[in-house]
Amino acid sequence: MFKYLPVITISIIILLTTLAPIIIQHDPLAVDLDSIKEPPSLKHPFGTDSKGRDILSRILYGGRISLAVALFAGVVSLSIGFTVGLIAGYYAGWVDALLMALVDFLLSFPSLLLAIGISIVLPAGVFTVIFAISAVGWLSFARLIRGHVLSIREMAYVESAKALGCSDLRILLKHVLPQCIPIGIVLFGLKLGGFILTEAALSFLGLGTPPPTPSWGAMISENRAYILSEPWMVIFPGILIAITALSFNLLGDFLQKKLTPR
Amino acid sequence: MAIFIIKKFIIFLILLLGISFFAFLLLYALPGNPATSLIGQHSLPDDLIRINKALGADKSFISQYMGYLKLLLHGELGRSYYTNRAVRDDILQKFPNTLTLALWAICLAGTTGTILGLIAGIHKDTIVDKIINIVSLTGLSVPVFWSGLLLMLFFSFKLRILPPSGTGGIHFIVLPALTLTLPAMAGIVRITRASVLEIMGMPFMTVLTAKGLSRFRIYMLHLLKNVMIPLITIIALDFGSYLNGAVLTETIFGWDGIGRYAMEGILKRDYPVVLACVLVGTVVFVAVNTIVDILYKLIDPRIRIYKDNV
Repeated sequence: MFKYLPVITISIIILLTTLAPIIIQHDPLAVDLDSIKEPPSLKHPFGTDSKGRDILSRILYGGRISLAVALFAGVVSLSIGFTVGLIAGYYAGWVDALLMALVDFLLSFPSLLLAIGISIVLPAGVFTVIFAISAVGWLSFARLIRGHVLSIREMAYVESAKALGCSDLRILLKHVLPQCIPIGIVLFGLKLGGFILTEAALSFLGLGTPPPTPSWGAMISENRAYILSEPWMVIFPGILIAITALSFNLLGDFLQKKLTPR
Repeated sequence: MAIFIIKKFIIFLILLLGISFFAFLLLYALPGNPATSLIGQHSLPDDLIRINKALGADKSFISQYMGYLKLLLHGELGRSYYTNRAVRDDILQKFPNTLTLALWAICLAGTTGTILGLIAGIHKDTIVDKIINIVSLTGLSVPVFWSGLLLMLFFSFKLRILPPSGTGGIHFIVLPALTLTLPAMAGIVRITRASVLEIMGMPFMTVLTAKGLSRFRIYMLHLLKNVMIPLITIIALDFGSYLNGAVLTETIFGWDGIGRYAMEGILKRDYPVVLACVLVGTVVFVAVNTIVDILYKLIDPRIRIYKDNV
């Protein structure tokens, strides 16, 4: 039962955030000066912020962006990482050396600084955030897949496929790629938690999706000043980030045990 | 061995050149003109041209980069657009603070992580193992800027035993170091646990047990010694993540280090500052990796060349 807890939590969070427009009773952007800084109550389960906006509604709306960004960045990283990893691992030699030099080079930057730099250069928006996260995110996929492909290409069945006259593309897509999918999925799960955190960090620094769109990280930074008097404004968005990231990390862990036999 | 070290050193130099170019390119592409951000948008066009000239911002990209490289070779990192102070002096003053914080965090994460990892490995697949796994994953999942604020709320405002922000002695270090420790611990626990499992399965452990050594002696003497090797690597390689965490943690706790300096530079578009911080951060990171690679070979003769695959 406990094993499936992360799957259940993630499903609940995804369900609640996608259905947010139907569920919530308050407009996440509506300023209500009559009910500013209200502590959690039946009307506002997570309280209200300094502009009287309902925190629960803002969290659910913010979650849509956070989750979408993390998932998108995950898919983009996975695709680039797989392509580079497959090519580098399969062709080996100087292609491999060149591509891995690029990967090592990019890995030598402190990743958050690189993401921050990219989000400043490009105009603020959802796609910039996705790009900034994936620009760093694909590196570990490329390394992992490359290592795996290096061992696969030496196997007898790849050699026999070659002897039968299969094209490189066919061998890569039909014979090598399927072998890499399980570890790809595992890393995808393990990475998503990190992507959620990077997205939150960028929006905490004011480099995420621009306001007034709510996002988890930005909610924490805009309410920082009230942490002493109205702590719920900061505590609830943080709990959501932590629970989401933890669920993805546990899911990755679980997948690792299931999909990669030791 | 000498060839190996020289090879590593040449790669290190090439990396440095590439990094400086890449960082310069990134900052060059930034929107916003330094002269405009210095004297404001509504200033006279003549003034803008004059200041652009004084800053050298009107020259071509290549000549700007070459000028920067020349300065670097002289150990000069330029001047801040805002304070006109030498960036090198600022960094020399702030770097020890970041280093102190990072070392405290590394010690904290290293000791707690190793102990938890040893316990988890020895009690494999029991409830203790599972709890430790969840605790360390939780540390990895909690955003540092949030846990930092909560620690501040609890220890500084509720209990009033530690200062909320500032730079200084040990009582200023505790909270930011704790904040940095949480996410770093998970990796250490995992590696320790994995190598404990690997070593426990080796024949020499059976021999030691057969010899009649106490479990405590086996664990503390023989197990720990073997676990240390991969552990030192992961701890050193983690150095980069401390620099990452430092950007957020130092900003929150007002710690006068490189991370906060970089963040302020980024927000103010103070190019020389940002460039210098990225350079220093990356140089430290790459240098640590190179040294670890070399030390690793020296310490453990069983290893020819160590390559991290993930």
